Amino acid sequence: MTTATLSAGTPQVSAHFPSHKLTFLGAVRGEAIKFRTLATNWIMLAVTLLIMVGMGAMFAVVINQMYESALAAQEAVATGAAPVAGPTVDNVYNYARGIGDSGMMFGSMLVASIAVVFIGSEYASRQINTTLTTVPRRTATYLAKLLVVSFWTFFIGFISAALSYGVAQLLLDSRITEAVTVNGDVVSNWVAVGLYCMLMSWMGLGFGTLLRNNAGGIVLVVVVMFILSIAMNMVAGASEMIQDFVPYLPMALGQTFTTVGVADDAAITNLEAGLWLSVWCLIPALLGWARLALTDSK
Amino acid sequence: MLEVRNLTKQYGNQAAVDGISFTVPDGRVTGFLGPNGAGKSTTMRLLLGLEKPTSGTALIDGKNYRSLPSPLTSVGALLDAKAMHPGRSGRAHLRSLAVTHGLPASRADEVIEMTGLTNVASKKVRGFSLGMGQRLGIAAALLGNPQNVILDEPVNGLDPEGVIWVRNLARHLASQGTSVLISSHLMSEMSQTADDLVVIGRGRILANSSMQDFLALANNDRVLVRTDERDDFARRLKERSVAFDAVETDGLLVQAPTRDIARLGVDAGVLLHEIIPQVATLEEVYMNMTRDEVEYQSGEFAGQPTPEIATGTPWGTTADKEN
Repeated sequence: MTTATLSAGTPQVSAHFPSHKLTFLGAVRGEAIKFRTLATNWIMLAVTLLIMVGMGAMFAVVINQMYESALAAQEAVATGAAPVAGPTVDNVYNYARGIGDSGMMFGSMLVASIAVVFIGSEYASRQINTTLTTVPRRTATYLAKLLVVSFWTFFIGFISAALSYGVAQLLLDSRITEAVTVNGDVVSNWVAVGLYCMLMSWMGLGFGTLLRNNAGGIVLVVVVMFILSIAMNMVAGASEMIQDFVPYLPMALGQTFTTVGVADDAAITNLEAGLWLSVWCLIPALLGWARLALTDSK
Repeated sequence: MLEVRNLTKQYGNQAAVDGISFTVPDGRVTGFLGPNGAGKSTTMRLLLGLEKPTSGTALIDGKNYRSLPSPLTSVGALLDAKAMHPGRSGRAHLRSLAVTHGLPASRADEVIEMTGLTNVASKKVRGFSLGMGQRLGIAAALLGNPQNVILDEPVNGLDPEGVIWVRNLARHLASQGTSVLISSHLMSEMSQTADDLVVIGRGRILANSSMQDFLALANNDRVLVRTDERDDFARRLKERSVAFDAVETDGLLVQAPTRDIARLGVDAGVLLHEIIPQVATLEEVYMNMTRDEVEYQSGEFAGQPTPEIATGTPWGTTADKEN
């Protein structure tokens, strides 16, 4: 028998790379390379951008129609007619300022899917074993992935919103574009869309890590974002409590968060909506972290 | 150095690894053998921190894997030939690993060249054969020029040149002071590669010794004798209560020292034209050791002939051995 009995010693490091250590920044850079070297991610980002900008263009046409209706109603009121329900000219201007969020609901689902696939495909391909062998500290691995996916989803949300605004300027009635210029509200809308996409990616990464499965993660995001909203709205009439709860569902919170012109004394302000939405997205993100950090990688 | 001490991993009521202990010293190639489901991969996953042990410890250079400051330069591991995203190129895969430890991108190119993947490094992994995936996995294991190397079935899917390359690689790494733990089902390969052996069955250690000591466990005192007068010589053996089996049409597998057999031939006036001492192979010793430990027992084919031992002869029976 040749089994050596050796005491635990100081870890020996490679003679070739004695000064190279695993760092969190390195882990982030590794995840960044992984993200940008997958064609799937670029395709999904491009589709997200196209859908959001396309929706913005379509909404610009709708805004033009709304503007005509609002002007007609304004002139009718000026000639003594009774005011009719519908958006005012000022409302339409705010819609034009916030046109960057027109495709946000569809775009956010796509960015959540990107996040789900970012981790889910690692489990599907068993790449996760290599990832966790290279960066064995699970929290660092998870945070690195979260940072990378947050960066890209914020970026695509912000750029899509800004591009939507830019494309809309070409389609909007010139009277609207003259009245609406890029200001703090407009840029805030772009930032809010970016943040909304980022928060959705947290939800996606969380569910993807929790279920370790692409399809399961995406389905869970759809359930929380769409099915839950539809179901709660359907039964809202049955209970006042449910009615009060509906504005705090993630989809409604997202709309409130990005809307331009929400009054400071509104029931839920932009900031409050953003904070509540963060809670909705942090919960799956934390569940995903717990699954990764506290259980085996199988 | 890799150290496993009283390591146990339980899945529900089933122990995949059951209180095993062994050491993989620096500068040695340790073969890790066992039937399918014996617990080899689980042990390797426990060493690499991919799973938490139910009890016991698995240490790399005296440290838990997760607490290593530089995992990539401490341990290089190949657990699964295709544990990489199919949509990424081999080069991008390696660079994403190298950058975590601040290793230069050129190091990825070095190991690509070392493993013979230069021509396909820019191709997506999904187009790789099993052998190419295996080479890429080995490239990843070598990326940090680690002090310890863990290779799970590294020659699966490799062509003969690749098999020899892995053998030489393991030997070279050990000669440089690296501890190498390598599992394989190819016994002939393992017998040429490993210095030491750890054999595991149903989660327990069956043997932990040098290759030499392991082979010595076998019954090596059998001698193959060939003669044109087999019946006559068999009768002489029986008279002297020497155990034997008939082999093929003209052979006898005799359990006695070579010199005694030769003397008997001379005394009996029987020409023995072959007298070959039988040395057990690693495969034979391993198969004997793990016969009762396999999780998946293969059935016999209908009408399958018994290899080597001739049947139906009046003298080639087990009863002879018991005399």
